[in-house]
Amino acid sequence: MSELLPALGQLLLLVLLLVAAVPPLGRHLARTYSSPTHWRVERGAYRVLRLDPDADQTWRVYALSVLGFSLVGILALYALGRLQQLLPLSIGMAALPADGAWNTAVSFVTNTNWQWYSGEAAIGHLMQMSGLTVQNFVSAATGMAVAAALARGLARNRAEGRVGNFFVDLVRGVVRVLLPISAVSAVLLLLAGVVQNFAAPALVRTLGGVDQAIPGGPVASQEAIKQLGTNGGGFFNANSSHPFENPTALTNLLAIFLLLLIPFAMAWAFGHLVGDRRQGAAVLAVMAVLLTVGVGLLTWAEMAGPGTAPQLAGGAMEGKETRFGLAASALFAASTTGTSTGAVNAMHDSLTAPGGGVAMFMMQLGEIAPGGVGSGLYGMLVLAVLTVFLCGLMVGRSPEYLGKKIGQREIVLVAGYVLATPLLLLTGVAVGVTAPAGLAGLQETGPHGLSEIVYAVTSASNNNGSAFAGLTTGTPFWNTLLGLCMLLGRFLPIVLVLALAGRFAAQRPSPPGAGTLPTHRPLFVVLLTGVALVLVGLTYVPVLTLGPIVESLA
Amino acid sequence: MERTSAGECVRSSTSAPHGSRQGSGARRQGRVKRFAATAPADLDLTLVTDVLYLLLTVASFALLALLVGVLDK
Repeated sequence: MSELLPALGQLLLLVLLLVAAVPPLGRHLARTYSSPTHWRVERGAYRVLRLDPDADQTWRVYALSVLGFSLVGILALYALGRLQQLLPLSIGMAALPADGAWNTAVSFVTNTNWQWYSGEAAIGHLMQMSGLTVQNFVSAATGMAVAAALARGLARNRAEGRVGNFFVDLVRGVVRVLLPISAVSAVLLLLAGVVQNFAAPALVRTLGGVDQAIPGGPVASQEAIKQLGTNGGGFFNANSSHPFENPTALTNLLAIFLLLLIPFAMAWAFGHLVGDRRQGAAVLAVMAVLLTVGVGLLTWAEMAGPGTAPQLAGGAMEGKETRFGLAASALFAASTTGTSTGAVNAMHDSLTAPGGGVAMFMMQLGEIAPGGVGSGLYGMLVLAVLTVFLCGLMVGRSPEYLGKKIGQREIVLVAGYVLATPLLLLTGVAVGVTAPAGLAGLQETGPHGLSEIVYAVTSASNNNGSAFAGLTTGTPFWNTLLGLCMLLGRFLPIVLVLALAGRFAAQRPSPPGAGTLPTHRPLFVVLLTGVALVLVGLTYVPVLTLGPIVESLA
Repeated sequence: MERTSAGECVRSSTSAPHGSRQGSGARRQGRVKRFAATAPADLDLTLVTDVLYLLLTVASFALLALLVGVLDK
């Protein structure tokens, strides 16, 4: 009971903050991706890039621009990692090994931010700032751009498959949204006690007479975009449970607020972009319902913590920070896995078995509750198209979403999207549990050992980045396998979404008729929530049964 | 700096003492020597691995670009 009131209090505060911030930010996002005017600083960027900002791209050119830009990002980040020791501000850090540099490059470009290394022991300031933090911005802006392209595809009328200009969307996302909010958030974090310096580790002698290096660095500036861009890569290995990254309950609440802000605001912006705010509200409602269920289940699992020690302690406190407590840890865990953030303020390996299962399930939903910046919206819209199609099959209604017909080609793209991540995930798990090199990194055996592998591959394939820990992944085998899961888990769905956007953009919208399924009513919210849970969630029931469910019953 | 077998850091006898004057040629030569001294240890064994990872990256993106072409038909 003592934990319940603070739990409800922080949840209420968080909801109030989001209710106040999401609508204005949603309107701003809609203006960002629809305004015909370019800011002066943006024009400068377009001149450097030698591109015409008023030229719309077909979905094909848009997709190739995303792929080309991301490829360059991976190569540049790989070079930074491999040459780190020769670069300034490396503060004595050695070059990353080839497999580690590749994994890190893929991880940050795909907005996953999976970290096989300890940040304070492996990455110098230059790579943190000019490599990882830059990718925190542009990978987030890439996701937002793809979501905006899909919204345009649904909103446009016979646009010959033209869905916008990727580079314009990218620049605007960074300049108009991510940079301003990050700057303000970084200052707030600084004021609340997050460190920010360029110092090398400070050497101190402890009271016990042991020499200890205390690392510092530009933490606050990275922390802000880490949460805002649903990136999640920590400056320190302990991530948001480290007192320099997340010192107080206030910074903890701010972190959760930031990581939920843009995903929810993108849904609100969608309503404005398609000219019907009710559509955005419906999508947002489904995201909110799924997140609320996840938060509720995870909080219950940790508070009810089965076992002698948790019951004596009043809850499952092992692996959690006492300065946050159970409720804040559970809320953080559900939020970070419901979005594609992956930051942690507690050790997820120490979550109770059902709690760990909920965290995995939140990721396996496809990061739609509310998902990553951009990726949450386009994931949910794909499911909305599928829901309309399924309802059309069941009750004989015309399968169209926002006036755009869902034909054979469209549903093939949707099916490809829905199948892509499970295929990657389950194949990755199968390889991980059968290869000796995969099993070599396990800390536990039995159901919990399986959960460690399933969690890692789930996190990579869904571009989440949080780690269950326990599994040693800093090996060539895991770095390569998880790197491939991250790369294909990010760009395969993006290509399919952009193809879908192009198909919709080429259509003339048909006016709603008697047979049209309304997609802004509570009934559709229930249907979409059901489809998300049943179709996507049940894909993973067998693997969840063998892992966390068997562990909870043991 | 070099690390002794005991793990402590000591200044290398070949490195220039702090504050000593060197000409630009000597400095350049020093940099080349330093690179030659450090590069093989890190790059020798992994040069092939580097190429393989770069090929894997490029091949993955080429396949994705191919998918774009197929879906565009």
